[in-house]
Amino acid sequence: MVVKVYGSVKAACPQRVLACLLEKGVEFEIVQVDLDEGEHKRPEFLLRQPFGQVPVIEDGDFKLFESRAIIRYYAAKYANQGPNLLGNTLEEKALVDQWLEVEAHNFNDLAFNLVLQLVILPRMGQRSDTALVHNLEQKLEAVLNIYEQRLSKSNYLAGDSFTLADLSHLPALRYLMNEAGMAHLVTQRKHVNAWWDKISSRPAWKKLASLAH
Amino acid sequence: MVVKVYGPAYASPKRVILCLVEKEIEFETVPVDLIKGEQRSPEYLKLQPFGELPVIQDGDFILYAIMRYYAEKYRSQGTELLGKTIEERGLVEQWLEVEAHNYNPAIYELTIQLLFSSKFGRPVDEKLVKESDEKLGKTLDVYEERLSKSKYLAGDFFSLADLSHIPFTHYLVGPMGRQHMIRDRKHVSAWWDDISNRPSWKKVLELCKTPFG
Repeated sequence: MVVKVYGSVKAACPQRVLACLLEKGVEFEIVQVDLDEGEHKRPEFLLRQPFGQVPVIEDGDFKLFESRAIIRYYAAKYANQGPNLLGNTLEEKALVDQWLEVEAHNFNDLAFNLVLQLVILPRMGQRSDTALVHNLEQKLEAVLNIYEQRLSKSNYLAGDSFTLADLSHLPALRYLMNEAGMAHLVTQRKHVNAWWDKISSRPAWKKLASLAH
Repeated sequence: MVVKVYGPAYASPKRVILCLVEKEIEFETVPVDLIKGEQRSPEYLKLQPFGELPVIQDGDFILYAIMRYYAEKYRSQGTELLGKTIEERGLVEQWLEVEAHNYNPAIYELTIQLLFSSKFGRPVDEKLVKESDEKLGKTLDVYEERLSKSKYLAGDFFSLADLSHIPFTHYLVGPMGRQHMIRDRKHVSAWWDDISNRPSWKKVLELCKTPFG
């Protein structure tokens, strides 16, 4: 049975899930949800995801939403195939969870709002808020300084191997570095830059990026 | 060696403390005064580089995303907080993420505005309060629908997903004077009565006073 992923291959949160499924070699099909047309806010979609957000997965009878819940589920379900994305010991897994939480709470809002201001609003013909952009950029610089510290001691965020914690950053970082023109945030930091090069060169990510962009 | 939990007076650390009590794990607490800005001290930043609460120290192991670790490590004792199957765990993760992204931001903003503004000598931002009330109301409507079909958020079992809501919701119905948001929703109200009357939560409130009485 093939996993159905509701969303768009270009949208960051579905990409988080697709990257994980590709890493784990889990077959999937994408069911397009037209975000520009507001399909995710219509009653039929709200029956699948009551907050009107993508992605949602349907795996036979099992349905799940929230991208970080979905990647944890598949990383656990397919622990024995593909790369280990969860660490080996309980303590390693705890560090994976910690850096997943950091991505969600310290990184994502800043990255998302920068992309909103610099890419999405202009696309919709709306003006972006320069002062806000500057403020967000400064805050993200401070966060990435902490990442720089961490990655000077550790190959990947949670330890020596690539895990969900690193994977979770891929979609937003790619948007920041490309369409949003913020590559300097990464390239000016030696260890963050090396980490980005490693994680964005993974075949699964390259495959997704070519599907999407 | 006993787990040290930093910042027991505040709501986010109470999630951790509640989890430890449910799992019958011994702990001690270390006070951190947010009003004095102790979370920004060099000593604290060595433990949690983002300057946020909570953090734990378990021997040499320092962690700042904590509940899942202890819920797994002590799987065989105390309350089962992660569901029994991988799918049940998936639903626990889903509703933990919902709390983090759709519930907590609004209720956290209300906490800052209504409970902390005066402590920092700042005026309340009424616009933010209104927006947060609206967001929280919409989320609670989704919860009402969910809890009309399911005793607890992830299913018919109490889990980390429900637990995660307790400390800030305690503020909502207490010092924030917004009990109507819970009481006006029949199933949310029943769920709140159930989870807030657990002996573990009563124990946490006895052990760790909030700054608001």
